[in-house]
Amino acid sequence: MSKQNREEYLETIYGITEVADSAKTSEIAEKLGVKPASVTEMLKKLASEGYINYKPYHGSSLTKKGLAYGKKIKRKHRLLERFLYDFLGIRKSRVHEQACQMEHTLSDEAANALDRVLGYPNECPDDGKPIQHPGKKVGEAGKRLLNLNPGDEAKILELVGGRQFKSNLRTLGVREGKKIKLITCEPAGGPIVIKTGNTTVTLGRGMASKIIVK
Amino acid sequence: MKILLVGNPNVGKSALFNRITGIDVLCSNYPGTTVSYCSGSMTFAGEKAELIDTPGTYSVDARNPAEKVTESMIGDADLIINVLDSTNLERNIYLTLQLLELDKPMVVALNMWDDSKHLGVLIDEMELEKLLGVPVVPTVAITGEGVKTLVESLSKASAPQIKKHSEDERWADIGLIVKNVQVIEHRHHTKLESLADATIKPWTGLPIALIVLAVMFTFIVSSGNWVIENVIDPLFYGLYGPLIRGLVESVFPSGFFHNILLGEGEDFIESLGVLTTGVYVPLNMVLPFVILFYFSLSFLEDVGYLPRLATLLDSLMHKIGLHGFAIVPTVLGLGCNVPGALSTRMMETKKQRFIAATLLAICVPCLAQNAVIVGLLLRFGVRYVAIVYATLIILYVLLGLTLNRLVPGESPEILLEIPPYRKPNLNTLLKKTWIRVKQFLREAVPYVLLGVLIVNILYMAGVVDALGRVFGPFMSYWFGLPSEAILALIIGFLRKDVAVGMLAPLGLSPMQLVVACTILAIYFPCIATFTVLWRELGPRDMVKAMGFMVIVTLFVGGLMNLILL
Repeated sequence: MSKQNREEYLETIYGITEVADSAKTSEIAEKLGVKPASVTEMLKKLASEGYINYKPYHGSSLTKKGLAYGKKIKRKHRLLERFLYDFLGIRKSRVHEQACQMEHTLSDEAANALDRVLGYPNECPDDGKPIQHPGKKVGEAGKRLLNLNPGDEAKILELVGGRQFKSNLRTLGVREGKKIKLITCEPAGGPIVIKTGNTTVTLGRGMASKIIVK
Repeated sequence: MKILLVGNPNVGKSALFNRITGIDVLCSNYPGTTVSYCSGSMTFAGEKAELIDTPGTYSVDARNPAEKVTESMIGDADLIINVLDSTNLERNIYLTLQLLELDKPMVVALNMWDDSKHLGVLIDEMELEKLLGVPVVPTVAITGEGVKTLVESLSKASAPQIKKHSEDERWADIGLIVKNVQVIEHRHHTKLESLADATIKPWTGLPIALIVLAVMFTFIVSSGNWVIENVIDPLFYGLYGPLIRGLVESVFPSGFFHNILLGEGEDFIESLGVLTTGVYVPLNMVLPFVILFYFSLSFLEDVGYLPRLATLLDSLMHKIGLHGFAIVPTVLGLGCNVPGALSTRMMETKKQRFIAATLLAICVPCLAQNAVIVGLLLRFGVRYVAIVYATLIILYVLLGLTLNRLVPGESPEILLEIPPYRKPNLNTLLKKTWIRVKQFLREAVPYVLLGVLIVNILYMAGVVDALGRVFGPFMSYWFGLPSEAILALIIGFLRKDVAVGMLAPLGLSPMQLVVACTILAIYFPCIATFTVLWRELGPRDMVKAMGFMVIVTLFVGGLMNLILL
């Protein structure tokens, strides 16, 4: 069984068992677009490798080992969807298919970096399922400044970018630990206006997307 | 002895400079306008010393040309006065710590001390002095409070030996310092702050911006016209005209000098005499508008409105490869292209500087030119004036879109501090207006006189006819203009306003005037702007920009000829 195949199955079962107790063979077959007979065969293999508990006619559930694996792949999948949708502007209906291809080659390290650059997003764009942030305590992960609404106040957690970028913002008073208020977002991709202390600053959306707040 | 005023933008360095030296100086609320530094003299320890006002900078690892200027000036300084905005201590003190590492004797001025009190920011200046190891003096530059103490403290300036820190170490130090010296009291939103918010939010801000600009231009045009009709015209026609005519004619009753000085005919615009048209155009047709324009612009600057306008217009300006900041060269250029061209320096990348300068040179007519265009066309009807400006605005956008695609390079995003609204000081306003008007007079009047003189001589020498014969057929074929109009194009290189004025005696139809005015506006900048642009862009880019000018002029002129004539 190929790595990609295994990962697809574990991810699918993980997705189904997020809301149900077990994953029915027919359901897995439908999601993956393959015949139920070949699913049964694959499930047996996964069970023999210790990833799932499989009883004929009762559906499958993930073992501890399988759960960890499935969770990891699903997280990569959802982060990639976010990236494709938010950064590259790919249509919602198209992000799932592409993320499915990319998730198998994305390293864990790159996934964590992506999570940070995306500003620890809360949910994936197509079905709104939650995205986990391992290593961050509950409530510790922030969101992007751009996701605030005008009038909202927040604290700056992190500036994601190069040395010059950080230093430019910090010397304007926009730095880690400071409380900021979003004054307004200009329309048509215009800049946003924030206030920190007694300083008001206008900055472009690209920069704003690199400011992580909570 | 060189003493430097160094600080963030908008901390009141220029106002402090004004106070200490007493000479008049450009004093502004807008980040970046002190790009050209000012220098004056002061007395220090019984001797004369040079005081230099440097461009505002957030750090000494400079990121734009203006900040580089400051960085290089610090190198030759004997003493530094670091000016801080007390209402933004934490942010300002980063530069202070960097400066302390440079081993120069230094004092710190805690400016805007009164504002910080109002905002509920309480600073223990004695403790700060202890922590920094240099004298710290609270000041209010606008009223002069504390300025004397500051000057006295210069003799106590010290250079504490401080080792080089990393950026993170500095921020850690700042945290400690601020914790020790500053207490912030809670207070409520003021009315001024609500207004500040309303003028930057798009749904309220854009209508307000339109109203502000409309009020400004209505104010300039209507009061300018009133002054011209009721004060200057009567003076010129009733007093100056007969006097100068009598004077000149008593010496030269007719002949060469008579024609040079007085021209032909009674009309001040059409006669083309050095002492008639040469004096009338700059002083009557243009000066009142220049004064009013610079006064209004200085007012908007000092109040702190321009950065808000830049924010509102940013997304539009981005489509043409610039950012909101670029509205400043454009607005300044509407007054006079020279300061507009100078201010392109504050754009960060070469691409932005090139686009801003080219658009300025082609699509932004200066006030002198505007005044004459309006004066010439308005008598035929508003729609003729409207055609000229609609063409220029459309051209600005189209050319911007094109240049953005053609010119390689980056257009970084806007990052701009928005200063709080401040009540402008009338004295500062008048001083600033005067400095700018003085600059206009110095640069404009000699060129106008020279321009009129040259035209007049060329006329009499028959050169105009010759040029008309050579280029005339092309002018009439391509632009639909009579061959004499070629001379206006030549003189436009010296002064655009004189050139537009020269169209008057040619007997053109209103539509021909529209075409001629537009071509004059776009074909080439006047010589003063040209020199500045050459210096700012360098020969290579300037040649490129000139290429665009020729192409655009031929294209637009030809198109207007096809559509309008």
